[in-house]
Amino acid sequence: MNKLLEMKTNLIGFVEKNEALAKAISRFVLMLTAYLLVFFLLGFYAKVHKPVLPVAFAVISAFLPVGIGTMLLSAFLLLNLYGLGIEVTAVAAALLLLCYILYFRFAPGKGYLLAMTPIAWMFRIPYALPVTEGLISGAGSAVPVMMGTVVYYFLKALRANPSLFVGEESQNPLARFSAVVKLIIDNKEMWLVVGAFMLTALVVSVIRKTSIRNAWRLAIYVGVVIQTVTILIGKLVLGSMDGVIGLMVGSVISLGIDLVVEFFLFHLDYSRVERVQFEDDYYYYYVKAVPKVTVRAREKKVTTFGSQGND
Amino acid sequence: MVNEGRVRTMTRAAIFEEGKGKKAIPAGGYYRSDYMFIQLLKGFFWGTIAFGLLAGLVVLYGMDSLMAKAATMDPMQIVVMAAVTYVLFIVAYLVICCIRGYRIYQRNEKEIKIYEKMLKRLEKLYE
Repeated sequence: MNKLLEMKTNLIGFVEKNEALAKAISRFVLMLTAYLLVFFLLGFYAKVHKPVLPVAFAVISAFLPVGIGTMLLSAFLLLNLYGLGIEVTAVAAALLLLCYILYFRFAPGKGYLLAMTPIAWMFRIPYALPVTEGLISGAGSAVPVMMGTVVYYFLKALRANPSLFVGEESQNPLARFSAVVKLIIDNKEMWLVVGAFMLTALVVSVIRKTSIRNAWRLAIYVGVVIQTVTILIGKLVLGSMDGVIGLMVGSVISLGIDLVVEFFLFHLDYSRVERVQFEDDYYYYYVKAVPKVTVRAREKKVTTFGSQGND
Repeated sequence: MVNEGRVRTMTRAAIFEEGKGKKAIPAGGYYRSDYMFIQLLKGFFWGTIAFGLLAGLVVLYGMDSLMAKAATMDPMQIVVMAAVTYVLFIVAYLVICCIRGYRIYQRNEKEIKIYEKMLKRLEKLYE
């Protein structure tokens, strides 16, 4: 355990020392992953299907605030969707605009979640996000996670049904619009997951704020269980048990990720709790102080052999 | 000679100014009622756009059934239904904006009080 704590202290020290570089690199990695996913999975428009574009956009995004970087990513996505027709692009633009309205009102500064959620879905680890965000920032941060989930399901449906929009020139444009919107509204599994994520983030943020022992740990366990059970029950009700194994494996991986987050952000030593009472003119104070578990980074000892006169 | 207490207080104040204070300090210049009014105005503007987008998507979704129904319905009835839906939506949205704005204002107030204490302490350290 001491070794782990030492590693944590070293890592935090390293990131603090190189904060600007660490931020730029993490932004670049996040954006490059997102751009490459759009490029490879949704590259419907031949004119912008050039490998240099995602890399160039990712480099630019590394130096921009995350919110603006995400908007640039949205523009690139819309450009690619134009290959499926103006109707798909218009509906996607309306959906993204709705996301931004909700994001700017309820979770400003959390723009990275709009990009990170679809990426987490692609890597099958989305279940970690509602719990992590409920722990770190409260239930409001579930909004970008939910919007990211809607965007992911929409794009997944587009990828699975491109024939609905390509090569049917005779189809009525209004019918095409209707077909695109139906991909979102008729997707019951998507609404189930969005509801489960919202419930999870709410429960986690409520438990986290309580003063009970190991509140974070309890919030993680309860959150993961509620999320998994809600989605499982929902799948049973919908009569579609596809992806249940993925859900279970994803939940276990998410639990691991959440515990790592807890280790880095909220590692307390409950064996050394101190309780103090005092009063002023207006209140009695009952204070419970829980010390953080910390360890000092080992200092490097440099031993020099030989005398300086030899240089 | 460097006064350690002064440097510490100044650093804390600067961290607040550069971070949370960037939004909190200008917002703290408003009376609560003015701040809430601005939040409601913003909420009304963005809520109306959000309603427009949502309504557009819902209309496109049920295009076939809506066309069939619209033929038999009185146009006035359609307008009234749309207006009632809009009012319900915007009221719900503004209530959420109001609760959120109130909480943010309260939090800002607390943070600004701490910031002002820091500035007073700094002033004393310079006397």
